[in-house]
Amino acid sequence: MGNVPGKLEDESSVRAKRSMSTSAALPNRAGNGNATNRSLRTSSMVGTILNARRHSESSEVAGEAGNPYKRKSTKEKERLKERHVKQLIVKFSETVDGGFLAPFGSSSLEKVDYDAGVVKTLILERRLAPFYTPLQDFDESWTRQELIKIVDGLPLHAAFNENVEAFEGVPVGNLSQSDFEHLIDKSLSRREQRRMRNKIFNARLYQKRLRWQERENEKFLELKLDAKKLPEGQHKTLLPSDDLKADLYSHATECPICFLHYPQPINLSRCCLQPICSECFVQIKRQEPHFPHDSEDSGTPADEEEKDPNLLTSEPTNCPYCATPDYGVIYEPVSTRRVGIHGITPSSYVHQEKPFLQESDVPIRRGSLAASDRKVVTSDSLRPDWQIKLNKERMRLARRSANATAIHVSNQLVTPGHQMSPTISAQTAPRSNTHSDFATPHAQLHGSMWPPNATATEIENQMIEQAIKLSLAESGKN
Amino acid sequence: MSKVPRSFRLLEELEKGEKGLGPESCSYGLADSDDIAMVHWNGTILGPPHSNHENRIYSVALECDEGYPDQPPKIKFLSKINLPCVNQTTGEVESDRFETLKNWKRSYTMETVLLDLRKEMAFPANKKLPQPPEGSTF
Amino acid sequence: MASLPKRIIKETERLVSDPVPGITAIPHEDNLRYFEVTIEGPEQSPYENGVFGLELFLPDDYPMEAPKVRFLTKIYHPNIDRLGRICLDVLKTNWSPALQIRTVLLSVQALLASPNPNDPLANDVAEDWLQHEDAAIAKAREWTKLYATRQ
Repeated sequence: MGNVPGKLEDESSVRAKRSMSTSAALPNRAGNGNATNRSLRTSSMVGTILNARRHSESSEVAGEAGNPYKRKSTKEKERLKERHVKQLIVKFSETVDGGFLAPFGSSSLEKVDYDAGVVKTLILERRLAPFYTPLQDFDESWTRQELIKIVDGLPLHAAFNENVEAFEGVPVGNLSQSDFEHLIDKSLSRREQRRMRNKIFNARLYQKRLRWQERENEKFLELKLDAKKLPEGQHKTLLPSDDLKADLYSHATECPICFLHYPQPINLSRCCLQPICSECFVQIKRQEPHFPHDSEDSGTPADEEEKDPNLLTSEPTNCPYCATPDYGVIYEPVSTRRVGIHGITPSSYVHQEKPFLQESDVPIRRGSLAASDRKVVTSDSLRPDWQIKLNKERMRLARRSANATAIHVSNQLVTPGHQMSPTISAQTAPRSNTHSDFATPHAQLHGSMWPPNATATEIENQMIEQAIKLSLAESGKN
Repeated sequence: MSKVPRSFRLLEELEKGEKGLGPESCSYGLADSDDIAMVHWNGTILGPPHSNHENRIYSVALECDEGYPDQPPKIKFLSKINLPCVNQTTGEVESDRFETLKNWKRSYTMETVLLDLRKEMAFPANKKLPQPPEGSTF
Repeated sequence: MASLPKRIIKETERLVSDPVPGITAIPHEDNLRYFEVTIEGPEQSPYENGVFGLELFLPDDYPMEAPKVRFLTKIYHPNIDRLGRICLDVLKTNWSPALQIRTVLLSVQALLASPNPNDPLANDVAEDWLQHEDAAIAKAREWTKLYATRQ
């Protein structure tokens, strides 16, 4: 499992170490316990994350992107997203054992945000079943001819929904031009412009994906039409021979998740040997980072800022059938049916005397395999960036917490011995995410009452920032 | 794309409002937490900076009837405000004078309405309009 | 309008051909992902003889995401709040794509048979349940009679 990132260092020890080093850098104010605690937590977070980063940089996770925590520019993000979408296009030329390297029916990108490179490699290595084109229905009584006819009529990719509600009314402009800056309403605020850019980009990407797939579909169709003109056996193409079609689909099995029918062998869960098609398997992923359920015992959602970002967790996926943690599958390819990439030309495949699906042929294995077994493909390995995502979310919360601390401290500095005016705190404090959001109305509303306010706030803010920087520098040296 | 039915859509919005996941410049919630039909809602809009609305908090009442979200909600200012799309006697937002309601899309939410009203306040022609005393109501 | 996934079509067919005793689920004609549901109160529970109306929606990501389910009939239960929202693990963290509409509705029915005031959604009801269980059960029975009687 070369793609699974190394585990975080023991967090508690890291935390202890950081707290020691950072507390000295922070002004320890009497009567300010809450804020100080928060700062400690924030800076210890920074240490934890830096440690995690150094760890992952030495592993393969960092990959070509270098430091995965570095903020990517919008353009860079867009480029990566477009590259991902290109890898989701089903191409008939990328055929493996009669299936493909990209999924058939998933149109929503959120569902298929797996690492396409990892999945393609697994399929090429025959460690994960290829993405087969599913049959909507299946009947054992179909004759060979009927079956071949049905398989011949299968498209490369399911039809896309042309009108996605989320893209309704979003301009896409000329898709062949890469620049769409002019579509963005420049009278909007910066944040709104970013939002709009994102929306337009997604709508354009969706349209592009439709086009790219359409182009492949057309090529596929042309190839099929050309092949028809020649008698079977005379064309050496990537199209499957009739024998291959029949061998693949005559024993189709229903995936218990999507209820569609796929060629056998299919992926089996490592724990309870239940089947799952590759398209469903790649959609199973960890939940978004969240706080442990126990800490939300009351029905009222607690304030994010009040929670320790270190507690944020994300559990490995469970087997959908038996709930064993760390879901993984195994796939046993048919050795006599190695066609396409790293195999024989699909059109030259001839049926083997021994029908592949005799009972004796199915690997008999009792008991389950460990998630670490080299035959097992775990759910986590398809999204090797889960750890980075978790840390990023922790960092986001830590930043929020730091901001809240800064606000808190600055209020105390501004009005020593006084609480902030209750109306103001009710209006702005609980909902403000960033310091600037808060400071502007605050400073202006009461600017006349507290002339030194703005500068004091700034100074205090800088102190907090400095503390975090020191912590960063400090842990960088370690 | 599947159409999220009215009630589940409103529950999504409620959750977003309750958890404060939306932007900090507006908020909204059910007027009556017992109202299983979820028709009546309260909202607030924080006046945009660099305008006569700065630092003011406007209360509004929203009504999402059976047609929502295929049809826009009805919205009415409770706090007095001087804005061209707001009826000066009732506080109602007049849909033919407010683009978001006029060209309603199913993907719009109550948050869209509140944020767009805020934009309306910041609109160059509107931001320096004289405003009634803070705290007065319709 | 994208076509309905095979899974939803098959589940709907099976709900009709092989119904679950005490439970009905019928899709709305104009939205086949949206179901009108009824669940009979389990025997020997405070909800016995009641018929509860619910609504169920299969989101785009179903079955990777759990169905959304809500009570439409008023019910006095520590894990169901005043808006009919249900606190049930299989609808949230313990959802599995191998579960189905029928298994979810059976779980909801089972929740009626065994309320869990220690993991409440409706705090006031849960408190009532923990402190005056008999009175709470009597109230649940009364509400069942008031709001959940078959028309």
